Amino acid sequence: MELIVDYTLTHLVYLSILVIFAAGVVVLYGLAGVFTLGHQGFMAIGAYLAAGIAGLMPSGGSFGLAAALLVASVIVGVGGAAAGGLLLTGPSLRLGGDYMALATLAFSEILLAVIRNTEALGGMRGIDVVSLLPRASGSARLAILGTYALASVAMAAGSVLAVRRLGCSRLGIALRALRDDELAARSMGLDNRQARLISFSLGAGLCGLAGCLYAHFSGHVSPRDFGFVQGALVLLYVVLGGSTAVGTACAIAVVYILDEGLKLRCFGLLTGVLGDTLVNWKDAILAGLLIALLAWRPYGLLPADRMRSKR
Amino acid sequence: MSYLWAQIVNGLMLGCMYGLIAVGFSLVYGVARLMNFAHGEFFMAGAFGALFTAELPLWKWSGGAGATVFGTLALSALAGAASGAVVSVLVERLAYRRVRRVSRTATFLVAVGASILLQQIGFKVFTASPRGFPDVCIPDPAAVPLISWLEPSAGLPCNALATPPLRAMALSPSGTSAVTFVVLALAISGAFFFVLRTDTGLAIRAVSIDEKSARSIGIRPQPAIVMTFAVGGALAGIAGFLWSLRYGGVQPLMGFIPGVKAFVAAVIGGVGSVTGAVLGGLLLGLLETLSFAYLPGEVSGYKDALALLLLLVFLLIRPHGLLGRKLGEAA
Repeated sequence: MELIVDYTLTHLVYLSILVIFAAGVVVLYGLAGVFTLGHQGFMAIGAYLAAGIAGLMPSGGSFGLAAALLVASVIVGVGGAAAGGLLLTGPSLRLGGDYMALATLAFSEILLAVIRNTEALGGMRGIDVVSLLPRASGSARLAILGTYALASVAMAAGSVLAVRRLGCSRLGIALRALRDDELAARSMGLDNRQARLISFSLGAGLCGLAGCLYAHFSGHVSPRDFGFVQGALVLLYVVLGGSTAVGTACAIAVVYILDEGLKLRCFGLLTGVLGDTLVNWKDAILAGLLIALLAWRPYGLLPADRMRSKR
Repeated sequence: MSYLWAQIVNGLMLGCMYGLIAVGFSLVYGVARLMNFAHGEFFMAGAFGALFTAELPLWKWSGGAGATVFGTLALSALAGAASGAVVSVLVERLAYRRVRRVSRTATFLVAVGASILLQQIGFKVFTASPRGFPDVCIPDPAAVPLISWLEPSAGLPCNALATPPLRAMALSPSGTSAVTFVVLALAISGAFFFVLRTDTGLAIRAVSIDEKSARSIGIRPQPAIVMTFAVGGALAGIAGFLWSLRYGGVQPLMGFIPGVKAFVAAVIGGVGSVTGAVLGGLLLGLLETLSFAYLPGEVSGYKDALALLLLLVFLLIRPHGLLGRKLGEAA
């Protein structure tokens, strides 16, 4: 029983982190309509900055110092990721469509190459993050894990609601107008450069927040955690969720539970040859399923009303 | 031959392989407006197809030993092309056709999905351990006309069921280079001929410039797209054969990095242009080989990032590439 609760809580935290990350991608892709392939780079910036700040903690420092460093790491991580977003968007403002996608991909892959080749950042192996909060162990394990799960779920819900609010705000309306028809929106006097810069720093900041939480919770960050496939998967959740924050959160929950469920053989229900095949071919089955889903519902399972882009 | 020249030749050969993959990528982008992320997997399929064909006991069916050597090479090149083309057409039919008209992001994600699916199938069917190009089995080395191309292999004798005393021979480095050069020249000139001189090539170019106008003069886009996928997959498959012959290391994930580089080559050459794709590939191959040969060792870890840096520079300075038209801006 204890094991099940432990397992559920741990995965609840990772699920929330994924939701926050996806909320950032919703801002970039859903609101601003930027075809991004580099959001995992922003997450990496947040995670590595958080790890660096946590490394400042002296052994045996007080609880207050740890809390201060934790807050500082979140601020620096989010700020750093947002700055990364600005750094990328600034020079590439005039790029559109697929070219912007390539630029974001190049940005994050170059960033990862630098991390892989820098010994101070742990290279390929990655670095351990100094724990700022009590690690969940011993008798109080479940209570501590529960607190973490509660906090991260709250943060995920907060970011989803914030992104939802943002969509209805003046900025959000401007962003959507620019996304659906840039020429028309600009002729109404909307500043597309400003809107793109703001949305990129906001989206990248959210991805950075997810990175921070990931670094602190998992206790280890490596370049492998922020690969291209992870980023593409999150973009996939966003598309399946109809490019809205709430829909994306639902899509993530469904796919995550499906994936974990298959790993656990549907909680012990799947046995025998069928079970073995399903578990062995899990990734191939999921990829095929997602292709089919996208083929039948290319705007997501429950698409938001959105001007259909014509070829 | 001096060190510099050797490096230049190496770089050109590597660059031609990138170019070969990039041509297919570029053509597909031009016609279907689709970033085909699964293109590297067609390359992988081609490598496996070529490898399995080369492992067939061809010596049993052929008379002379010389015929075996050239037959093996030619057949596995063809098999590489065929498996690349088949996988490519299948992916177009099963995955891309429905999504292509709807949303570009969905199309791209389908491409990523297809790429992951093909890799997973590769892992299950071929296992993850990297393989090299098999040795050629010949009954009598003296009967091979260009014997200097072959050298006795340290590997095991080829086939357990062999009745005549067989010798396992491997292509020597210069033999590999010569074969690579010939196949590359044939494949690239074939690609140029197909795109620039045949009716199908003309249709493909017409659809990629303006689909509506092409339709209005009676060109049906769908067959043109299928042909593009077939040719692109075949070129990637030939590149896969050459890669397995020259560098070995055939495994399910082998397509990813060359795929990304071909992608970069296509973009810096100008998406949609065959000449541009080859030029971009050559530039990338040369730059990579020369920087690897002359820059200090610490830089070598950045070998794969170099391509992306080049891509970023091109995107910021000249987004439509060396020879490209402005594409991909408005959906």
